[in-house]
Amino acid sequence: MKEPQKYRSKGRIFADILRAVQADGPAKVTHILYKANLSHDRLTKYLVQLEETGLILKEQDGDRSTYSITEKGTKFLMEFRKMEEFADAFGLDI
Amino acid sequence: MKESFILPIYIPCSGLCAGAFMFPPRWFLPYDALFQLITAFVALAVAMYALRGHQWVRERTLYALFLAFLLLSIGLFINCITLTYTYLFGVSFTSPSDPLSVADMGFWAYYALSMFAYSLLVFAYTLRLRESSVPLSALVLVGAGGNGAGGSGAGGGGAGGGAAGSTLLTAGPVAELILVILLLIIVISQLAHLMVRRSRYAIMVTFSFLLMLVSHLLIMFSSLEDIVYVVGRVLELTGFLSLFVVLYGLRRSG
Repeated sequence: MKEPQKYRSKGRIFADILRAVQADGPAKVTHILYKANLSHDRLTKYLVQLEETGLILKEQDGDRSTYSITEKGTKFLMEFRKMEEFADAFGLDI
Repeated sequence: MKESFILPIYIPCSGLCAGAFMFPPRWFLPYDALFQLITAFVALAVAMYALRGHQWVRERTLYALFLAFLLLSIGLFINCITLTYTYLFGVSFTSPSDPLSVADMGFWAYYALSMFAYSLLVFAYTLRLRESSVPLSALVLVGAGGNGAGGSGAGGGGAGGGAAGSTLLTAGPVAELILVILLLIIVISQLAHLMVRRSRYAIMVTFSFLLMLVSHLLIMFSSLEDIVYVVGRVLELTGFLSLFVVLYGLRRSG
């Protein structure tokens, strides 16, 4: 029997995308899609939001776009990890 | 109106009836105020940490934690001020008093804020349980027990209606009982979480809530012996200090 998909909050989706971008250096959309487990439409929407908030940086090379994590993005990931631990200590999910 | 709050667990012994419920021994008041001040600061630190997290990741569970611990902190500060006031001005716990006196209002504000804070935590756990596969049955059982106790408390109001003195003398045990029920739900939720995922910090937080639960239970029955109240407060302080250790560890781990 297939296990029901766990609810992912917006913060967690942001963190998953940022982790994928961080792991691959300048990452291509297809890599991020695969690692963050999102549809193309949703990923595009989130990438715009992440870029607008200064967490990732988009680099355009002809038709090809790659994304890299900014210093603010790295700080977000660090804070997210701490808050994950904090919420987990209280038996809560974020 | 006062009578409707009276808990039907009045012990049929004249020595334990009106005037003997759950008040600190007078010599302990300054220490009690100090303990409450320390716990208030710890609760505030937890609230601020949750707020900082919420500002980064915008999660409602973190906001619920922030609000809960902020309310708890305000309640504890108010209790600290009230205890200091009763000590400095020699307010009597047992003699008849105006329900709108500073001391009564202070104690009630503390109880109301604490109940609201723990209810918020229970709400946060309910949110998690709705989104996860942890069985709800245990909480449902506890909830049903809680409703039963609350209902009988209101219904059995007339029993000790003649009790004179502060409204807290009669209604205080009911307030403590509500806090005990809320904390029991929180502890069961924490234990259910520990069965799925066990971490050092989760164990410490469970331990903290467990100590808070025991402390409120002891305070509820502190009329038996002065020392019961003192031990209750010491356990409460230990519980909050354990939370502080968790917070310190988390901050350092970054």
